[in-house]
Amino acid sequence: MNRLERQPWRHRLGTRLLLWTVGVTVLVLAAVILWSHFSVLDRLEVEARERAAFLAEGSADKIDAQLALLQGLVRGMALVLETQSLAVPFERLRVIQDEALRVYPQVYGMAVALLPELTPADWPASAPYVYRTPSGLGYLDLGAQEITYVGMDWFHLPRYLGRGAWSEPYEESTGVKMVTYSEPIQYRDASGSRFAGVVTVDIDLDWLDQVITALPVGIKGYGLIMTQRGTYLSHPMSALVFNESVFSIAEARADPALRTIGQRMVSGEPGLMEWVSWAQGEPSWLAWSPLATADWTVATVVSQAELQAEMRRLSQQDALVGLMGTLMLVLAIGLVARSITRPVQALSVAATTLASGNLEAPLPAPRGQDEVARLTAAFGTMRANLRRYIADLAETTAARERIHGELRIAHDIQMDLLPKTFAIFSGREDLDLFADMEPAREVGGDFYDFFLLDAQRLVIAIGDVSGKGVPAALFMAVTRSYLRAAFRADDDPGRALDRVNEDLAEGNDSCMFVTLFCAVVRLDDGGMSYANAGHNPPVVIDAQGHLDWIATPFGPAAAAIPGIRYTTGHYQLMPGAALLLYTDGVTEAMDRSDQLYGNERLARCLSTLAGVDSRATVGQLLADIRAHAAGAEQSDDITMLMLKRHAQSRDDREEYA
Amino acid sequence: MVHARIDTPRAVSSAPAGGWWARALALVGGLLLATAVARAEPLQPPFVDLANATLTPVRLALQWYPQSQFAGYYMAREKGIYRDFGLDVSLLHADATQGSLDLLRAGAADLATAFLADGIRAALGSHDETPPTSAGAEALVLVQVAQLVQRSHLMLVAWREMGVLSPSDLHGRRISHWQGSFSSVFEAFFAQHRIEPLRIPQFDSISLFLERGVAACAAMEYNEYHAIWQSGIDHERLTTVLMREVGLDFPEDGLYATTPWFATHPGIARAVRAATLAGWAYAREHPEETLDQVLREAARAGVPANRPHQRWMLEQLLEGIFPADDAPAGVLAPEAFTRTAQALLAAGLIARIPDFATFAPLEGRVP
Repeated sequence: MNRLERQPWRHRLGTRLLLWTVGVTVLVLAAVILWSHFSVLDRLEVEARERAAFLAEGSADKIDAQLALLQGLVRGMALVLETQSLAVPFERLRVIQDEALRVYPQVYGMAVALLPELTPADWPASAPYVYRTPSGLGYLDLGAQEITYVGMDWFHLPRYLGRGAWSEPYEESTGVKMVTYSEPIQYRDASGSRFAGVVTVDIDLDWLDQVITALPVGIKGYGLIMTQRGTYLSHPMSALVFNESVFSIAEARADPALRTIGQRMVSGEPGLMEWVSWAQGEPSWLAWSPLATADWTVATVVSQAELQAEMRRLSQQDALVGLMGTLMLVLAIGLVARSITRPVQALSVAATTLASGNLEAPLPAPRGQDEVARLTAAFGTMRANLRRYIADLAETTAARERIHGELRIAHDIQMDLLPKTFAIFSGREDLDLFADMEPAREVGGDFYDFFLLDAQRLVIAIGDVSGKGVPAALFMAVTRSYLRAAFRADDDPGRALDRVNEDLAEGNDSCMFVTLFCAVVRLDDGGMSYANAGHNPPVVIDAQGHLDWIATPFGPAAAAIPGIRYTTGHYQLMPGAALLLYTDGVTEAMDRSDQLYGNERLARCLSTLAGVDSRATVGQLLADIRAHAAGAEQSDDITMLMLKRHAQSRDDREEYA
Repeated sequence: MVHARIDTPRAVSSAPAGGWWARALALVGGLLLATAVARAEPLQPPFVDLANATLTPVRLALQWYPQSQFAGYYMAREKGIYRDFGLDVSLLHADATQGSLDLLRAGAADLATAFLADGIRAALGSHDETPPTSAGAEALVLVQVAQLVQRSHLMLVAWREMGVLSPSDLHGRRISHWQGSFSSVFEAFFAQHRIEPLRIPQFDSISLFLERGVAACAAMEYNEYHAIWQSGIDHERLTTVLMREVGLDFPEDGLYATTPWFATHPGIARAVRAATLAGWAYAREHPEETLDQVLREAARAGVPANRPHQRWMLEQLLEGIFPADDAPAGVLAPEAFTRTAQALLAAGLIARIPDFATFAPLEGRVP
């Protein structure tokens, strides 16, 4: 646990899980929010444009509806006067006027103004005018004023235009700012139709303000009305109304672009453009639409910033929800990571303890069916197997130790069986004998032997038991015993082998066999009789280094088949020549690529060793074989025996004798 | 609807209102002062002991609604220049139906502004009143006290889109122009071009023109011409004829008094002339302050007004009042007088040319 505690936090599984999951989630979330923000913003912007345009158009319709009502009223009255040829009783006209003002609260005043010369004689006034006062309806005769009304736009325009017309805004003496719509009255008599006067209706600009204020343009939006001359009839900046036109402002600001915009706005065509609101200083959409009932333009200004604020609020909500979600995700991931890493940590601690060799330490109890639980279970199985294996191993090791010890003893015994005292020719300098056996395992199946039959005859033998290890060693020991026994009974090597074969074949249930070469060498003249039972042909190296393989006579290996007769061969070992007996462990020694040492290499090596004594020769050969094997494991026992007759030793011997 | 924009009875006065006896006293004092001033030439600088002297009340009728055309008068009053001259000047505004000369003749004003052409015609009694029968050949109804605006700003503005590209295109077309004080020049112009348009009276508005109710209308370069432009109509859409460029350069605003009044108040007339010119000089030096005052006057009268328009008007007027060649301001040049009178005579609008010295008795005597 301590080891895990010391692990840097950034390397912990939980941290990485958390960082990756939350990191990716936050990125995805941010991308989604941004994308949604901008796409919605785009859509809302299009919507805002449409809304602005729609608002302007709707506002125009709304105002048109109101104005059309009033125009209808005025036209109706004009029609009444026309059809009656102005012969409407004055009292009745006044009743209609009063009633109109009661029915239409948006009407500030109403007049019927006739040319003085056409005023009916029974009318007490040529221009009866009804208007609102704070205390009710007021009345006066405009014809009785100091200033005649004939020059007023409201009279003048319909007179010469021959149609209804709206005046520019003007201020009443009462301080009320208004516009007047007037409709001409045509008087028809025998001489034709001519202008007789007008019917007018006054609208307080405040009423237009109210209509405009009621438009749903948002907190920072507003509506405005301007006349064809660009004069403001209604604008949230009241200082502009009446006095200023879009063109006067353009001039005051030296802003030709604004003048162009104004010209577009009063052109009678609807339009839409980006705009910085004057009233609020806000980036906005400005949309305008002409009225059908007047030469006026209604415009609406819808704030972009308000819209964007709405959008920001939306995005902030998104972000907040995202943040909360992320926090919950962190919590959830943290919990999941903990539920994963805790058993893993516990497992890791247990595994560490396990690794230190303590197989008894408890493993965490696996919970659930997940991978960690299965890992824990697998660890449990592994620990159980490990424990069993180690117990087996201990047992096996003990058994092996025992066997090994016994083998060592067997080895020692086997080595003891081989004669090690080569100085058997005491006083004879002309003969030199050396033998060596290198078993492949603790004990080997090869053997060599030599002993003196009498003072003049030496028996030398080499054998190779089939198989290896203890059975071979035991068989070898038996063979050696039989061989010595056989030579004690008969000194002919052929017959000795016959006997050994008989003895070994008898009761040879394990069907082992042995190759044997034995020879009786006469020490005085080097005459040699020998027999071979399936063994590698010995080789003789003369003083000049020539080799002579003694291949015949050659019989089958002993111990397999009873009743075999081995032939005895004879050979004269010349002074200076050496006889080498060897087992197949020499010629069949293999290197790592399974290349055999072989007779050729043996011969080559031997031919270089003429004149060298037996011990050195055997040593050199062994070294050459090891060089050939180059570290490859020895697969078979290597056994060599060499007897050398020295060339110049006769004189010495004679002198010595 | 009442349109009582020009509140004549409540004319703004630079002096506190008093009872009639106070007026009588002031009149007497003013007369004394005027004779004193008349004797003590040169006039400048006028000195009046304000603590002791009573001011002479003078009613001055201006020929149109409040606007920069009268900026000098406002400033002379507001900056106490009239007072410094011992005057208590009340400014009255005429309107479309009641001209300033009407007010003068009616006795509602002591002095009135008018165009030179109208001044000459009115002096000869050619207006709609009977000429004085008992007066001698040189007897004039009015005399001129000062000639302020030296050039004509009058023009005709026509729609190119209605096919008016030159004056001759106006023949038979509907033209609106001001009646009374303004019509003589147009009559001269029509006579000059031998065209007979359909004349429609024009009042205080160019709406009929903007509504295409007429092919052309009268305009003052400093006012309606710019107002049309300020209605979003670019100059390229108009055919314009400046009267001063077609040989009808008749000086405009001048100051007039009735001959009897002038005979009894020559000093006051001189004082008004000098103070008014000083007021214009002040306006020239302080245009923005002057515009503030003009806008205040317009707002008080309920007349729509905006600053760039009034600035344009003021600049035009100042150019007309203060000649570029540093000639003395307020002076009626005999040549201009003769040119104007001859044109009127040629147009058949006057029967004879009045004597210059009688018409402008102060010329040559005021430095």
